[in-house]
Parts: sequence; structure tokens; C-alpha cells
Amino acid sequence: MADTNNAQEKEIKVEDLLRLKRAERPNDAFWNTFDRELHQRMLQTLVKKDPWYLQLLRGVSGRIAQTTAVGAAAAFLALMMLRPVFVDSAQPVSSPTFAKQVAEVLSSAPVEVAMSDLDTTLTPDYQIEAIRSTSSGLDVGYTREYAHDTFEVATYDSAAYVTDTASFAGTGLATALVY
Amino acid sequence: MVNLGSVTKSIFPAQEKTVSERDLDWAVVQRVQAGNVGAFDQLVHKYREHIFSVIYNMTSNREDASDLTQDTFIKAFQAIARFKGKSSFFTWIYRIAINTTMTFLKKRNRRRFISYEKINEEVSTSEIFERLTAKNRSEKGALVSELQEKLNDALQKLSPKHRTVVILHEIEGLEHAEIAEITKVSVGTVRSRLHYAKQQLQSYLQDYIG
Repeated sequence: MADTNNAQEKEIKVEDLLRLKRAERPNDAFWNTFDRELHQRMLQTLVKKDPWYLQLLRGVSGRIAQTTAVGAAAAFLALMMLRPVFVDSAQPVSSPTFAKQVAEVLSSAPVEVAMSDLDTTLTPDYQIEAIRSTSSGLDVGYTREYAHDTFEVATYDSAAYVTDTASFAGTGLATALVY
Repeated sequence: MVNLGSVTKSIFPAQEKTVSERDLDWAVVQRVQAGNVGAFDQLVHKYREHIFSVIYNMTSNREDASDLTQDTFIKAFQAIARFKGKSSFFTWIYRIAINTTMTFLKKRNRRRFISYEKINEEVSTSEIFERLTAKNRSEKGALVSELQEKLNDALQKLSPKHRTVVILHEIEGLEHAEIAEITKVSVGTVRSRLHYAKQQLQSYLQDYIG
């Protein structure tokens, strides 16, 4: 009785009330059913397999993804290794000056020039081809300057070129190549 | 007269968790991972009542709690191969249970179907209940039902986040740090939520307090 009176004097707190919630517990029958149902569901989980097409798709996509990843990595590495070569050789092409020169050459149409119009005062250089007359107007021998090599176009009656005339019989010209 | 405190301590060993408890669970988990599916039953039997209690108090519906407890263990079973033991199995399974329940509560929205669990008879002989009966001068049977309804009602008025913290601390007896790990918030946040939730509950249950 004294215990009961002491208990009444104590204050009841929220924590005390919440602790009563611990007494809301299922009985053994509930747990038996629970265990049975859970085992059934676990078995279903173990037995259940994805349809064949999903398995196939997963396998194929996995293989493709793997191959793609390896290929991409190899390509990236190769690109990184070859990059300096590409950069050095590509530099002039990408240069605006060079591109302009190429464009000029490609766009210019060939011009026909008469032999008499050729400037005899031109001096040969190694940048631009120069065709010049080597003697009088009757002499049709020309010299083309190509730095170290020269070839002459000579007349038919030159004894020095007789051996070459066979192949040029129809044209009446003989060619001697001088190196 | 039964001292409810001592009874609950024995049925809620979460308060007495030690490092060896964690190691024991980890050993069982490793057996399951090695292919011994039957070993999972040990984990189910050890934690099913705690998980059910948390979910039941979160939902106030025994059928939903039963289904969600099963869902929790199925999810754990399916994912146990990926469990690396970085946290304790206890923390991990509680987290699955909380997340599963939260998702369920979001889907359920405002619809609420109450289905209470039967209160264990020992509560009517507890010290707290003696005091309540004396204070309210009510008949014990009627007071048990009334209090159960009021308590569940008050809990459901809290937000799910506040409810979770109150349930884990006051009913399950978990430490602040454990709750923080389960809910992935700071210990400060846990304390703050607990304080706020208790204030709310105090106002809802003021007829029984004091």
C-alpha cells in the first residue's frame, strides 16, 4: 500500500507513457505465420530468375560495354602517343599563310606564253622555273634550270644526239639529258 | 508488481550491444554470403521483433507492419552479398526498415488505417500504469485501450522524421549516436528532433502527464 502511495506521488512523464508502447507486441501465433510467409518469399527470391531475353540483354550489353570501354581506352592512348607527330606535320597546313599560297596556286589558270615573249634577261633561280633562250632566234635550243640538273632541247641535225632520234623520229626532236 | 523497465531491458538487448555483438552478426552474415542461406534465419529471429516494433509504431497498423517487416528482411537478404560490414548489421537492417517505411508512408499519404497490436498483459501491472490508474481513477481495461489510442494518435501527429527519432530512442532504447548513424543525420539533429517531438507529445498527452 505504501508502494502504491509513493508511486502516485511520482510525476508521469512523456517518456514513461512512450515506454508503455513496448508492451504492444505480437503473440507467438503471429510470428509463426510471419516466419512461414517470410520463408516462402525468400524461396521465391532464390528461385525467381529473370526472363531469358533480359539475361541475354544483360550479357550482351555487358560484353558491348566492356569492349567499348577497352576500345575507347586504347584509342585514347594511341591518340595521346601520336598527337605530337600530328601536331608537328599539321602545323604548316593549318598556317594561314600556307593555306593562302595553296589557294592562289590552285585558283590561277595556266597562261600561254610565246617564245618571243620570254624575257632573256631572266636569271635562273631555284625557286621559280625559268625558261630562257640560249642563242639567237633561229636557234630553238632552250635550257631549263632545275638547280643541279639541266636538259636541253636540241635540233635534229646535231650529230651528238643521233642516238636519241629513234624514239623521237616523228617529232624531229632529239633530247639529251645532262646530269 | 512488474517493473516494466527491467522487463523491457531484457527484451530490447539493443541497449546492451557490444563490439562482440557486432562481430557475432558479422560472422553470421559471412556464413550467409558463403551460401549458407539458413543462417539468415538467425538474423531474422534476432531482429524481427525490433524491426516490427519500429515499423508498427511508425505506421500504427499491424498488418502493414508485418508486410513491411517482411519486405525489410527480403531486401536485406537480396542485398546481403553487397554488405561489407562497414557498419553493424544492426544499423544496416534498421536503416533498411526505416527507408522502407518512409517510402510506404509517402505513398500512403493521408490515408491512415489503424490496426493496433494487442497490449501485453504485463503492462496493466506495471508501476507506471498503477500511477495512471490512480491519477485518472479509471477502470484498468478501459484505460489501457484509451491510452493506447491516445499514444498512437499522438505519434501519428508527428512528422515521420520526428516520429522515427522518438520511436528509436524512447521505445527502442537506442543511443543518439546510433540513431544518427541509422538516419544519416548528425547527433545534434537527432537531439533537436527528439526535443521538439517530446514537446509536441507533451502537449498532445497532457491529460496523462504530471
